[in-house]
Amino acid sequence: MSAEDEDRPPPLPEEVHAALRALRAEKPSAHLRARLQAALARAEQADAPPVTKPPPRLRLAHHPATRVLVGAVLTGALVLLLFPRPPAGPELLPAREVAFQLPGDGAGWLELPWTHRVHAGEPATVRLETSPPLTVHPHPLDVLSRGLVDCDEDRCVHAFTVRTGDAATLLRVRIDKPGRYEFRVSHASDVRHVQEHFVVVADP
Amino acid sequence: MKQSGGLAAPSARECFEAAVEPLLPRLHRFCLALCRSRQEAEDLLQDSLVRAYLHRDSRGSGSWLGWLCGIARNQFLEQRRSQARRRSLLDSVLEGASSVLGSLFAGGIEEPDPEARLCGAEEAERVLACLHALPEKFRLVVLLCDVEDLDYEEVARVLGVPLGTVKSRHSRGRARLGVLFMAASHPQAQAFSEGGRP
Repeated sequence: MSAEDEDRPPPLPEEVHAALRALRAEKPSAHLRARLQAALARAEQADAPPVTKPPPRLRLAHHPATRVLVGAVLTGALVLLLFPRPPAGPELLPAREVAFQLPGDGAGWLELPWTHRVHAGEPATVRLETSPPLTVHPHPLDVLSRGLVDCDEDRCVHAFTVRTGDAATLLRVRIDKPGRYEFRVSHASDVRHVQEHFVVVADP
Repeated sequence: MKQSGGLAAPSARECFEAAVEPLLPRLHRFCLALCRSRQEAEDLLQDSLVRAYLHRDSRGSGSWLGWLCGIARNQFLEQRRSQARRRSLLDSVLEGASSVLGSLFAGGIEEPDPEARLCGAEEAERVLACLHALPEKFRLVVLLCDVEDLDYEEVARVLGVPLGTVKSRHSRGRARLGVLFMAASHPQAQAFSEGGRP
């Protein structure tokens, strides 16, 4: 037996391999994901620095060396902006504001302008969070598979697999009263993983 | 419908969530392997993520997964230590013995709770129960190598142990898991081969 063979772990029976593959399919439920998001939101609030009066200006701020240092930092930041590194995780798109005019009868369907074209026509898994909770209506024929939906008092989480590209699934949300609504859409395919944030202001 | 330009840069929480989101399934399984119940694993996952968020500035240049697994494991050990202080030694011994003996002789696995039955496939539950019957040092290495497909170097970084230790634990853990799983899946064959009644 070679040294390489000694390094190799003993083979597992196929039954065990199959069970380990099944374990790999274990994923956190939508309910757990919503719970984690709520916990992080609470942590964010607890983590926010208290509002205090601004400290009195220091003489140090006017020192020439400080100005040189600040200049160097700003130059570094500019270089980073001009030569961005490729993103390690999902790409975060800037938040977008969408104005929505409610129809005469008071309720209407808003079509979210999600950037499905980044997926080059590949199927994408969409996770849509609506706050406050709202009804989401992708066309039934367009949805390839529907995942778990979870709601609490503050938000609803919808998950489904959809088409992208020219035959992209329309993501429609029913709004029945004026107000401010927030939608976080995470969509991932083999091509890209993008997170978008829409702020919708619905007027009567 | 009209649209306006950008509103604001993503917040620290949004950036953190974006980085952690793709790792959630792996972290969830890591917590499931550490804990004895789903409820405990979910609590551990939540506590670990909150702790990671609050200490996000202390993350070094290593991988997110390694950093998060380290936090989850430390959090788990802290909880265990504080529980152990509250419990008698006898309770701990009885619990450990019943878990291991139950896996070997009583049809292999603990009875899953109703939520577990709903959530997980029978096979996954069985192999998870067998993993739980392994000592933790073998359990985590087998999980990270055989379920998460991490290479030995990455596992060594995640667990903070030497590469040789990972290899040896993987070999021994795999061998034990194979025996436990086959005993759990075919209890009658096991009894027969050991000279028991068929």
